Amino acid sequence: MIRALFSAGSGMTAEQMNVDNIANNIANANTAGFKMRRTQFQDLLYQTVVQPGSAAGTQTTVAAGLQLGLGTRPAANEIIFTQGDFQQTNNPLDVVIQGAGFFQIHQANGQLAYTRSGAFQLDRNGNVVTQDGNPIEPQVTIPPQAQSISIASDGTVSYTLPNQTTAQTAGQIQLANFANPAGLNSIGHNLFTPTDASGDPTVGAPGGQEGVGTLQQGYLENSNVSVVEEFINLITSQRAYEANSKVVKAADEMYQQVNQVVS
Amino acid sequence: MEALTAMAASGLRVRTETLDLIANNIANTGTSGYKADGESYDLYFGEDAWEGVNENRPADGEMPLIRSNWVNFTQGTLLPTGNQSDLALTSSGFFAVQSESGTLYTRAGHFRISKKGTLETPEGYELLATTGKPLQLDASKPFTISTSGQVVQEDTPKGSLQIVDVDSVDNLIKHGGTYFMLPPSGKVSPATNIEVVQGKVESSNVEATQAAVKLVGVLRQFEMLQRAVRIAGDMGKQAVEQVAKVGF
Repeated sequence: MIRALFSAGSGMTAEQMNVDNIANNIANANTAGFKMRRTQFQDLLYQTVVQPGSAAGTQTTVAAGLQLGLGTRPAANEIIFTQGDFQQTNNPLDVVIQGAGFFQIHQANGQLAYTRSGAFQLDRNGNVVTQDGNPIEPQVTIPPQAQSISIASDGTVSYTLPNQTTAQTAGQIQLANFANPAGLNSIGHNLFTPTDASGDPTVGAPGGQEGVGTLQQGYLENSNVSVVEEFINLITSQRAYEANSKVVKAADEMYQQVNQVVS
Repeated sequence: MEALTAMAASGLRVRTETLDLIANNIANTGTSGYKADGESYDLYFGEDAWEGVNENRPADGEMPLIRSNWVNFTQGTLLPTGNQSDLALTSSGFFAVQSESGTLYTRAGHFRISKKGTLETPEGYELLATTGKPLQLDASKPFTISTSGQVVQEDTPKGSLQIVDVDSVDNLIKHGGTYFMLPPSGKVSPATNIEVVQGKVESSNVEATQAAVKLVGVLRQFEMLQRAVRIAGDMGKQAVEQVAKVGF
């Protein structure tokens, strides 16, 4: 019965972690560029009480053995990279990626991080930066007197100067792609860093051969969290937690019964 | 021990093992690809029933226990994940993966594409193709998997996934991590009527309501058996105090 208690306990811990994950998804339902995570569970090891195929009598063998499972564990919570909805903002520095790519962001520590959030701004030097002030890679600088900024679907950033009709090119935004984006490491602030599981980034121009996707100016990518789906997950998770707690109670009651036999 | 106590005690032990099974099933209601366990009991026959029979005869004093568990291989519902490397089977059969301890079989379809361009499980076990080797894909390009398990990348067929049927599912041993192991005596054959669904995973087939009903049942049976043990004890006491009383 100790097995039942611990199996149910493992189920409760796992569901608790699932609720933590759902809570983070719901909390980020309005975070531009946020990608939801989904918890995956696995069953734990099995205790073999009767080995299948062992001798049951002089001439027969056990057709199927007895294996008692020892509960569950959360195995992973992978990032689900489905495309979020596009929201029109008309802000010239809001960009969405239509496709699988990521913007490359130069962090303060000199390393590159990757994001799907295209809410950019200009810093006082005219560099295109994220909300945290980290510049994009390769750096794009817009002079202060620039009149209108346009970002083409291939990532070319151009602007016009006062009293000029021809546009000036400020640079081209490059996007990165990963073999297994679900294996990226979230570091907060909408940023991801590569891991051994995700593989190294493949960098390319939007619309190019690398399949990084194309850009669309004046839009933001909403979070891909579906609040309805999260609520359904929350309900099932809560009920599963409840069911596990009932097992703990049942095991406890059975222990009580055992004690009554002795009395 | 006289027969009543012995039978009731073995019944108590069976119910605790049944509770272990139910607990594990309920704990794994959220485990994709998990298949629920069921139990089967041995009937208890009195000594007389074994008269002249030697086959499968329990040793003296051996009481019925759960003889074995069986795995319920009914289909679990499919949940969409939006991940192109997540696969589900709606037909019978198993995906074959290569682990360090040999080939394992699973219906849990959380796969990912590795840096090397092979499909692998979260533990890094590579998914096998019909050739017996992992499929080689281009990691940075999307791919589609047809219902028959054929993997196509950029209009080029890259091979088919190895999906196998087992000659008898009773031979499969649960290995943890929703994997099944086959003992050397078990045989596999390529599955027929394969139906692979891309972008979905098969959820656990544990029926929560059924498990709850069973839980209540086990609990009450345990209570009854406990009463039986007490009654047997009382009877023994009566025998000592009343029947065996000498002189009135």
